[in-house]
Amino acid sequence: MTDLGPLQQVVARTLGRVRLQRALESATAALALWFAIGCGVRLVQRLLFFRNQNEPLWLISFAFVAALFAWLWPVRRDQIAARLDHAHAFHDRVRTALEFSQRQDRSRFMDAAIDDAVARASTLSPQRAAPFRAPRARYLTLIFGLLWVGAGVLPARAVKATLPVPVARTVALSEDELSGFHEELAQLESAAPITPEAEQQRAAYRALLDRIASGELDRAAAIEALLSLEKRLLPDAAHDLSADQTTLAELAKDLAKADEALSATLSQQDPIAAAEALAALAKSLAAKTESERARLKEALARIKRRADASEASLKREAELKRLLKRPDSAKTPDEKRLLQRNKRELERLRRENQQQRERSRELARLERDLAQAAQDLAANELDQAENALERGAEELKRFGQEQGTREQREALAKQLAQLRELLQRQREQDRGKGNANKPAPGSQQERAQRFVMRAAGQDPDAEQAKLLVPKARPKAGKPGGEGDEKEGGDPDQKPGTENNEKGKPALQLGGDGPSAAQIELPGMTQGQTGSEPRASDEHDKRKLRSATDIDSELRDSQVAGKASKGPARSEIILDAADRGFATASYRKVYSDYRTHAEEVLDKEDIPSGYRFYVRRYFQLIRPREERNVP
Amino acid sequence: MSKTSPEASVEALVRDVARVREAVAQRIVGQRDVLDGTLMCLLCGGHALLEGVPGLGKTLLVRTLSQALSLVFSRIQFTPDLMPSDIVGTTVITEGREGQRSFTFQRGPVFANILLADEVNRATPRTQSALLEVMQEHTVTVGTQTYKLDEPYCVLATQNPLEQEGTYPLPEAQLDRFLLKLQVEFPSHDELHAILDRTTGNQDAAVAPVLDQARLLELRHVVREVAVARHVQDYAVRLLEATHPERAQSLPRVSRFVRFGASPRGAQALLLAAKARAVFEGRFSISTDDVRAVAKPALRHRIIMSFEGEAEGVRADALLDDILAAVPIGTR
Repeated sequence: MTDLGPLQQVVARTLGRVRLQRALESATAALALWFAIGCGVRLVQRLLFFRNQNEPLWLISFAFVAALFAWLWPVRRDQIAARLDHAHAFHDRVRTALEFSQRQDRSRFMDAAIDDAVARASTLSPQRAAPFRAPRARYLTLIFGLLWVGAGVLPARAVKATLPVPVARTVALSEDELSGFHEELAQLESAAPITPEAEQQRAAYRALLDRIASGELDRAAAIEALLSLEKRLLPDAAHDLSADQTTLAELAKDLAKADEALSATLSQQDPIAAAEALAALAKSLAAKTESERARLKEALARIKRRADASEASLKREAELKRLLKRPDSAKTPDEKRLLQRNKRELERLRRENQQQRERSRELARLERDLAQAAQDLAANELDQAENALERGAEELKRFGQEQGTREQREALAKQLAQLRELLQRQREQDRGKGNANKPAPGSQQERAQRFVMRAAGQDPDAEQAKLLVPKARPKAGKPGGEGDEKEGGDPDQKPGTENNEKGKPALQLGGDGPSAAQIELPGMTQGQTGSEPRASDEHDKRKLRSATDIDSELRDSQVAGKASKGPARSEIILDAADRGFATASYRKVYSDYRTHAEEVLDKEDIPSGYRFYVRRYFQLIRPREERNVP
Repeated sequence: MSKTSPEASVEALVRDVARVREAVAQRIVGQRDVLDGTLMCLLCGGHALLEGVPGLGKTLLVRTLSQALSLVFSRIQFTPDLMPSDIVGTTVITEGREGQRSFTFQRGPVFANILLADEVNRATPRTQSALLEVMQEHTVTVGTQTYKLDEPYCVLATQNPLEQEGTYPLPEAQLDRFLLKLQVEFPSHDELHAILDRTTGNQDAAVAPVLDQARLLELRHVVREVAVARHVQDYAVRLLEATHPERAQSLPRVSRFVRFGASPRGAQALLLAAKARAVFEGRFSISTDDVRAVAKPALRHRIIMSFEGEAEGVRADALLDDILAAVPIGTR
C-alpha cells in the first residue's frame, strides 16, 4: 500500500493554517461584537444611570474563547484536499487519492491515482492553498474599539434632577369665610382695649386677610401668619407672666405649708394643733399687704382671661385648619374659572327659564284665542273667528321663530286641524244651502281660509284647491271632466279606482271650474293621484289602446328576428372542439385560418421558434380525413 | 486485454491520441474540440452528433479520422425519400451460376466502422428510426435475420441548424443515443488562411493510418478503467438532477424553459466522456473539471425545451452554463 505520509502532511499543515485563519476571524469578529456591546453599555451607564463604572476587562477573554472554539470546530479533510486541488489545479488528485485510500476494493487505476497524487505532493504548498489573510472584521473591530475607548473616557452625566416647579398653593377662601375673619377682627377691636400695639396688630391682621383674599399667600404661610397674629392680638399677651407665676408660687408655697401642718395635726387627731395651723395660715394671709393681695387678685384674673382667650384661640385655630383642609382642587384657579362658568351657565338657565315662563303665558293666551275662534266659528261668527285666527297665526309664527317646543307646536297644529275641520263643516253646511255661501274673493271667509293654509305652512294661491274641500267624493268617469258631480260613469270601473289603487279614491274638486284639479288627501301616498303620469305616458304621450278602440293612437307590432347565414366561426370552432372534428364547416374555417397564418408567417419577421410552433399548432388542430368524419 | 500497468496504458493512450491528432491535423485545420469529442465517442463506444453550418469540414473530419484509424468508413446522405432499406440493406434475388435464384441480403451502408449520417434530420422519422437499433445494439435486423456490426462502431451524424424547412427533427429517443453533440464552430481568421492554403492547391495531404481496430478496442478498455471518485460521481449526478425542471431545487430558468431534463444516459455520457478526457490528459481518475468540461456536449441534446423556451430562443448551452455556475463542486 502506498504511503500517504507526504500527502497527509501537506493536508495537516494546510488544515492547521485553515484553523488558525478561522480562529483569527472568529476572534476578530468576537472582539468587534464585544466592543460594540461594551460601547453600548458604557454609553447607557454614563448617560442614563450617571455612573462611571466600566465593565471588567477579563470579560474581553470572550474573544479568546471564540477563537478557541473556532480552532476546535471540526474541519473536513476532504475540504482541505479540495482546497489544495483548487489552488494547484490538481484536478482533484489529492481529494480523490484520500478517498481512494479509504476504500478496500481499490482497482489498479485507483492505486495509480493515489501514487500519482503522492508523487506530486511535494509540489503542493499549504501557503498557496490556505494563505493568511487579514481578518475581514478588522475594520469593524477597530471602529468599535475606538468607540469603546471613547465611551470609557466620556464622563458620566451630572445628576441634575428636575425638581417640580414650585407652585404657590394659595389659600382659597370664600367671601363668607373672609367676612367671618373680618367679623372676628371687628369683635376683637370692640372687645379689647385699643392700644397702639393692638391697633398695629389689627392693621397687620387686616392686611393679612387682604393678602389671603387676593391669593398671594400659600396655605402654610397663611396659617402661620394668622396664628402668630392672633396670639399677638390677644389681650395681656405682652404681660409678664413670670411675675404672676412668682406670686402664685409663693401663695402655693404658703398654702402647702398650711396644708402640711393641717395634715399633720389631723392625722394626730389633734384639733388644737389644727386650729393653730389654720390660725397661722390666716395670719400669714392677713400678714400680706394690701398691694400684695391686689396683685395676687389681679394675677388670678389675668390667668382666667388668658385661659378664656386660649380656649377661644384654640377654637378659632381649629376652625381655620378645617377651612384650610379643603382639597386643593377646589381652590385652584381652574376651580375658580369653573365656578365662574357655572355661575354664567346658571344665569343663562335662569334667563331661559324666565323666557320659558313668558312663552307659556303666550301659549296660554294663544289657546284662549283659538278657543274663542272656535267658539266664534261654532256660532258662525266668521269675522271674529278670522280675527282670532289671524291673531293666533301671528302668535304661532312668532312662536315658531322663538323655537317653541315640539309638543307645543303639535298641540297648536292639532288645534288648527280642528279649526280646519270646523271650517269645512261650516262650508258644507253653506253648500247645503247652495253656492250662495261660497266665499267671495276678498271676503272674510276667504281670508280665513287663506289664514288656515298659511298657518299650515302652505301657499294659499297654489294650494287653494286642496284647502277648500267642500265635497270629497270619489272620482268617476273621465278625468278632467267638467265637474258635473256625477257619480258612476264606467260601470266596469269601481268608483275612485281609475289610475289609483282600490280604496284610495282620488277626489275631484266640485264647482264649475273649467278643469277640476285632482287633489291629494291626507294619507294618500305619492303616485296615487289621478294626475300621476302612467308608465306608457312617460316617453310617448300617445295612448296605446286596444286594437278595436278608434281613439287608439298606437298599434301593437312585432319585429321579426333577422335571418342569419348560420353559426359564427367561433361557434363552429367551439362545436368542433366539443364534438370532435365533425363538421365540414370546420374544415373551411381551418383552411381560412391556416392560409391567413401562412401569409402572416411569410410576411412578418417571426422567430423561427414561433414559426415552428405555429405550424405545429395548425398540424395538431387540422381536420381529420373525410372518412373519419361521422 | 491490456496487462500492462495503468501508468503504461495511459501513457500509451496519450501517445496514440497524440498521433491521431497529428494525423488528422494534416488535413483538418483547427476543430480540436470536435476532433477530441469524436475521439471520445470512439473510445467510449458512443456516437456523436455534429451540428454546424455547411462547409465547415464535418464530413472531411470524419473521413480523415476513419483513415487515420484504419476503419471502414461509410457515408449516407440523408434525404426525405431515403428508405430504411437504403441504409440497413435489403434482400434481393440473386441468380446463381446454375441459374437458381435465391434471396440474398445486400448489406447497406450501415455496415461499416464509422458511419457518417450526413444531414440526418432530412430523412423521415421512419428512416431515422432505422438507425436506432444500429446505434444502440450495433446490430441490424432484416426480416428474421440479425446481423452484428463490426466493432468499433460509431455513427457520426451531422445536421444543419439553419435550414429547418423540410426537415424532421430527430426524436428525443434517437437524440439520447448520441453520446455527445458537438458544435462545429466557424474557423478563426488564421485557420481560414490555413484552410485556403491547403485546399486550393494541387496537393492533397495523405493521411497515414496510425491505429487499427484492435488498438482502438484496447484503448476503449483503458478508458473504461479510469477510476471515478465518489465526490466526482456525486457532482455528475447533481448536474444531471439540476437539468430537471420538476425538482424543488431547480433553477428558475430551468423550471421555466425546460420540459424534460436529461435521462440517466446523460449521466453515463458525462462520466464516460470525462473518463476519456482524463485519460487523454494522462490521469488515472476523473475530476470535477472533466465533468464540467464535457457537461455541455453530453447534456445539451438531452434537454428538451418547453414551448416557452423554444419561443424565447433559449439555448441549452445557456441553461447549462447557469447550471454549472449554480451547482457547487463540493460535497453536499
